[in-house]
Amino acid sequence: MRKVLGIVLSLALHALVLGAGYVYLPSFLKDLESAHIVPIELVTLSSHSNVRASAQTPEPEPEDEPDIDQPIAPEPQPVEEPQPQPEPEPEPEPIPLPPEQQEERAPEPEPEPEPVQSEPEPEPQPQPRQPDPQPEPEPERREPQRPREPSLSDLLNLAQDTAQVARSNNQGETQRQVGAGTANTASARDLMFSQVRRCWREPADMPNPEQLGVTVNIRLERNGTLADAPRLQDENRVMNSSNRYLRIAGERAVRAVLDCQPYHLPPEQYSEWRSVTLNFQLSL
Amino acid sequence: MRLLRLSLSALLACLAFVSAAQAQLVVDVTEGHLEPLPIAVPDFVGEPGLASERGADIARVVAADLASSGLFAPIDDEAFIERIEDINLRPRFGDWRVINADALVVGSVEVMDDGRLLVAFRLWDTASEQQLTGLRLTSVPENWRRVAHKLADAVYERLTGEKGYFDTRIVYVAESPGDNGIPVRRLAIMDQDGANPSFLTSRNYMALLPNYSPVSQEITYVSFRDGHATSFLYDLESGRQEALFDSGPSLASEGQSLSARYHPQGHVLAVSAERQGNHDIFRFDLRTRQLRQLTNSPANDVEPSYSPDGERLVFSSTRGGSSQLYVMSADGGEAQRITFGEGRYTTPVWSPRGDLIAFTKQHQGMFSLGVVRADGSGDERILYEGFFVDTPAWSPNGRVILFTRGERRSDGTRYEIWSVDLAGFNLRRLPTQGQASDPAWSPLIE
Repeated sequence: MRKVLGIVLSLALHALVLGAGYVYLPSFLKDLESAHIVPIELVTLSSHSNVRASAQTPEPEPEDEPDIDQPIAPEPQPVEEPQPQPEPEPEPEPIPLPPEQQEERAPEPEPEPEPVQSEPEPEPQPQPRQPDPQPEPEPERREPQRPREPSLSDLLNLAQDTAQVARSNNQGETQRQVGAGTANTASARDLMFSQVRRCWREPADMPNPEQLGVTVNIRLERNGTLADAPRLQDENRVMNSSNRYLRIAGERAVRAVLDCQPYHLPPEQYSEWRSVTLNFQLSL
Repeated sequence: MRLLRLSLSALLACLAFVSAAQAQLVVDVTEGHLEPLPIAVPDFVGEPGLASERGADIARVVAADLASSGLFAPIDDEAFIERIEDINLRPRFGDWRVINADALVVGSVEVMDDGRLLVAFRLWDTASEQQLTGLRLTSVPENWRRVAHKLADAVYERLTGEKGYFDTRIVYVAESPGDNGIPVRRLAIMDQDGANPSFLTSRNYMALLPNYSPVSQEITYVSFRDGHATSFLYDLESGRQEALFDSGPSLASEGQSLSARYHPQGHVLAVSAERQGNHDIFRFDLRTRQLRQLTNSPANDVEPSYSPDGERLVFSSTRGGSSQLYVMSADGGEAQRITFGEGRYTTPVWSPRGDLIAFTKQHQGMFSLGVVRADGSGDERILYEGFFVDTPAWSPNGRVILFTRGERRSDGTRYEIWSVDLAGFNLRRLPTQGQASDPAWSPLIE
């Protein structure tokens, strides 16, 4: 009996040691790697170079995800035809809208009796010049899904040119280090960061922005789109907060992850970014 | 055996936890952008005729208000794909996202049987496809601009968390050429966006330094008549004027009064006044007409301004040599110096938020407009620097500052009113005709 117990204990101890190794070793490795990789300037660079690398060097892979690799294909353009605007939209959904906050207002006592002095020529008549909205037509700056053929191929050419120049400039080392996918997790994280930051309206315009940190959890499809609605962590606390700025910070974070999709992340690392936690916390 | 099973299941649980933890990518997003928010404001829908015309007008004013804040970028109508015909149907959000609109304002105008306008609007978030706010207002047709300003305030508040400031007015000093080449300076009033301007005072005397009550449509100003200055109270709704210091302990008889600032509750003024060649700070109670001296320093104490809780006063004083800013209790007493930089600090005005004090500074021949923390901690922040800067005035939400800006021209200095936001961006000239100075910003109109 003692012998059996001894064997069991020994097994359990071994298992624990193995388990501990399994738990801690990867995190050591990860720390070292990310510490090694993440100079901030490189982050943006790496996002571009990684994307470009996977786009331009054909890498025979079967490529089952069309989205990320659309650029490679010399545009046969069957591409999932993203919203040709008129889109019949068979859902004119009749007013489910709640009458929500519809404040009826009293007839407005016509404030302007304008006590202009009984002067002749009373008005300077400054021509109510509206502060020119400077609308900037820019109708398609972001153009999330519409593939614009010419500019896309231009981009590809540009990418190739750039890569060639880079190679001829003997920057191979950097290129390899960044683009070779040696630091997978760090690079997925950096890619994610560099994409989300462009969509996030930071709360720097609100009082005490350092106190407006929020966290959003998302799950992603292989093609970089959201698998389901983003989940604001502690949603009740954030959205019911007496601090209205915190509520708006929560909304802005959710909007950022919605706006930014589809995310362009290395498909071979899908298991790592299938589920992402984004901590939105402005660093001052 | 049971022990073995326990150990194994613990191990499995451990492994499961580890792999779950590994599958989670954690990203710290520490920086973003603060570009103006792209917003679409299509014409409000309405029956052809007055309703439709006002619908277009209201949408235009809402968009202009939002753009003027520097926080929003209205999208050109030409880019719109969907034509809104009924605000009670859900918009086709894809059509708005594709033109990059983050927010969408839709509205309608209806002329009611009694001739008044019924204006309704909804603000949509195009990403989450949620309605963020909705509002319905009724008004006489002539007040359509105020309706538009109120809608813009509602949009602004919902998207920034701050109260808006579009349904407000600005009193200022308008300068026009007078007889004998002496310019005429008199008070004028206009909407915050420059619309509906009109004069308040006669051209027979000079009027300066208006100051808006924070709780009512009432101002004070300084009038120069018969050789000395007198503070006046002016009720904008009735047009009634009253000299403040003509009865009781009259300052007018003993010296010259200068600017007056309202207590946040509107029942008291802080004023600086000159007696025997020396300026001090006084408290003037508008109900009792009693005047009480708060400082008694051999130096000049001038330009007092209340904190938004009414507990403290900031003022400028030469008691430390050059003119610097000091804070003391609203009842007087010891004052704490809050600026220590080089140059002369003047015209302090306490922010409605309470945390900052705006000031102007003169140093080495240049003027600047800046803000400093009310407790004097941290560095001052300069928002604008130029040839001449004076008389800062806060927007009711404490986010924008108006000021007088003087620009040297070949024919002399030209004075205009400009605005700048707290970050020093969005510098804009107020659309006044002719020269203008001494702005005073009203509270939100009720």
